Amino acid sequence: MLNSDLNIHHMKNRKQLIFVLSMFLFIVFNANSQDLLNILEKEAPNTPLYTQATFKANRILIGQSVETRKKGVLEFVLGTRYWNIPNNDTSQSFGADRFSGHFGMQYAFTDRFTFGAGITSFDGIVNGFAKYRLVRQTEDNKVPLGITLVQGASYFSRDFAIFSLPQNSSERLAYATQVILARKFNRNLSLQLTPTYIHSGVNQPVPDKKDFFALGFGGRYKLSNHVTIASEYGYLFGRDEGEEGFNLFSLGVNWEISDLIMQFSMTNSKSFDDIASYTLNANNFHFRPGGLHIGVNATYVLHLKKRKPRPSE
Amino acid sequence: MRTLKTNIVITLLLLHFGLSGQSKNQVISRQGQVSFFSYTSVENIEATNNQALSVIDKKNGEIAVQILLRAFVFKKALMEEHFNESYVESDIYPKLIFSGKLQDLDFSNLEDSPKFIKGEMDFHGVQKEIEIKTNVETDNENLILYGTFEVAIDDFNIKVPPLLVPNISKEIHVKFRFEYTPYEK
Repeated sequence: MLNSDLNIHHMKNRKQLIFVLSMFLFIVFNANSQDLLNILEKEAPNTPLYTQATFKANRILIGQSVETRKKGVLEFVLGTRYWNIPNNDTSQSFGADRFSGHFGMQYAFTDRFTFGAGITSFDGIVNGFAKYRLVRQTEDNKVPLGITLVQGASYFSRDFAIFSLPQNSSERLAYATQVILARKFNRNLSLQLTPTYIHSGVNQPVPDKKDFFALGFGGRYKLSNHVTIASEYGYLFGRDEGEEGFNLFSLGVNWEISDLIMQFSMTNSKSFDDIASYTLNANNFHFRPGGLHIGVNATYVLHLKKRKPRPSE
Repeated sequence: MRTLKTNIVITLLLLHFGLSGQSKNQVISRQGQVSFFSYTSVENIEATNNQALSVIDKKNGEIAVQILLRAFVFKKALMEEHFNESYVESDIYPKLIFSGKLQDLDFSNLEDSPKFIKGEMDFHGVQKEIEIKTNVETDNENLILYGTFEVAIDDFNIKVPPLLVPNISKEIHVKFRFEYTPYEK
């Protein structure tokens, strides 16, 4: 009995020994190509990568996006918008009853700071904005969202649509301050929230009300490597929607090819301006004349400062 | 009996550390330079990565390379964004990994002569066997590999929109230079 007990003990030990032996052999023979890949994994540089392309341009379609361009990039924006006016069946106009054109330029002084200005034909608005990228989302999600601050100023040079502006030109300035919060959830989907404060000197759309809050919603969904759909909604607090204008809606497609970005849009806004597109929309969005405005914004990207890709040998 | 067993274990331990502590056999290059060029009549595109990683095991001539695609620097920032987002899709495939073997290279008697590297390139979700010709150079006993080769973008399932087909070469010219120093853990 004692003998057999010893035997079992012996067997156990032998099993253990074989186990230990095989472990060693396993480890030794596995020190192979997988080993090299493990070293690479361990040595890989751990620099944070900023999330790219939350949106494709400085604007989602009409309103500002969280994006700015890299240092030394000059952008030219040519925008068009076409629409029909209601109760105009005897119209002799070809294609569309009304047209508005926009020309703008944007320059990125640094990777974070962009300044832009533009002018629009139909509503005669001259606008400028400064944009600062405060927080950038990172790939590893340690920074889960991006924050961009925008300060815009607009000068309304004439009456348009149902809005009549003050005669005194010093009262025709309006300012908008925006805090853009955006997150790229995955490679296809990005969403944006834009709390906006507007100080409007123009006495429109609500008489004797100069300060407004607005909340902008924006999103994009990537359909293919070069095409995304984008949409925006802008809610303006403190007005009677209707007589005092309508909230902004837009739906469109962004298409990028090389240095050119085309933004096709359907919207209820006649404006290309950050302030007027929130406050001064005479119509709600619908597909009948008056509600539907179709436009294309073409942005041409010019790199004034070329970076040096060559190694410093 | 017990002492014998202990001895075996100790011997194995020593053997194990002796074999796996082979860092003196491994050399690493942390700042390898990899550039690529696409020359067409419409547009010249070039980008450089100065952070390519590579390790060689001198014992058996095995080599591994890892290139972070986001670390390629282009002349135009927008091009870099498009490269990452629309062509190599670095959000899904962040790295290019090559693992292979240096063919008939005698590390104990290095001579400055061209050699071949055979191995598998894992890029953009495609694994492909390739053979690369490399120049071998020694500098203060440190190993340097450099050379050029061509990569067909069709082989790695990289799609170019029809409008940009004239802008992007079908064969991408790749230039590399790795300087290896002994690897310390």
